[in-house]
Amino acid sequence: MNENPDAKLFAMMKDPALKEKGFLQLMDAYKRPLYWHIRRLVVSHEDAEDILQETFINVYRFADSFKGDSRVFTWLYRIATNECTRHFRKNKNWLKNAELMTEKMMGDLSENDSDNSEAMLVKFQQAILQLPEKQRIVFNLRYYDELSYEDISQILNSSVNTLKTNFHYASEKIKQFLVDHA
Amino acid sequence: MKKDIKFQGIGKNTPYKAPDAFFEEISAKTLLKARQREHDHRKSLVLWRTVGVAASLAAVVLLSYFILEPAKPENKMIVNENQHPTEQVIEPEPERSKPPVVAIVEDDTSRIASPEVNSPEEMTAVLADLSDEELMLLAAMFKADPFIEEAIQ
Repeated sequence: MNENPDAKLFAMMKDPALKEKGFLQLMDAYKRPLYWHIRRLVVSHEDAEDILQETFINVYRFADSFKGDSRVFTWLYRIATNECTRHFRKNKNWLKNAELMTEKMMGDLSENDSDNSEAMLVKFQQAILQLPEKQRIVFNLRYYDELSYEDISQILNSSVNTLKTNFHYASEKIKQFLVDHA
Repeated sequence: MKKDIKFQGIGKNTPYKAPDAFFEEISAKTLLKARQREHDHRKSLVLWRTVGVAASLAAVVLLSYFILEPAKPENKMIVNENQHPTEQVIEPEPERSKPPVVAIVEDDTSRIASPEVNSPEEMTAVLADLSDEELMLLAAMFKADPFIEEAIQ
């Protein structure tokens, strides 16, 4: 997450002749972490692909508006997270569908007699899906993306103390879920 | 950083999988979409600007028409409905300074007041033709008009 290469990419994107080259390089650098961040939130691959594309289209169109006040990756995560939130508002049944998908994954695992660790991963995702939206996002950013509370604070526009509380409650609820469904 | 996170045996893995070659293809696909979106946005921007300019021009023309229009007399247009729309006749309102013209309408009373009767026989015949209502009207006219009495004398 060095700032210099990102600044260079954005300088390229502001130059019409180099815009597309800079855009492709930026995508190569961030498409994987952003895809997995989105995928963990929306579960479905198709939705994650759409949201990832929408995120980078916004970057392409509004690259000029990036002033460099925050770091590039927090800006990208912020756009991606906002797109996910918009997806949650737009598709009222997304959570039900996500739960059905994880249940199907669990069913497939038992049919294939897979090892227990895979089942544990699915159960862990089911536990995360039970969380309220804000706690789910904070937990994912902190646990999987390993972002600092300061970075999450910039992404979600929330205070560090609130985020710590959210993460604490999320962890407790997940532990309880795993104990209850052991 | 992770000292407060203890989910043993789970780690950072997820059960989700991305399709093969997804990450190789997504960049080019997204760039195509981004170009298309930018193109559509520019087109709609041009369209809206054109609509805006046209609306502004129309507003200016209408405003100038209402503001600069010379004051016209309020002519009353009398249109004969049987006429073809292109042959509409506009009758000017009579000038207010002229005295009103009283039209003489031919009806039963003119027949009553007609001075064509010369002899008493003819008068008797005329009176015999008149109805009770007409006779009443004739009597009222004689009472109301002082010149008729003068003329008789």
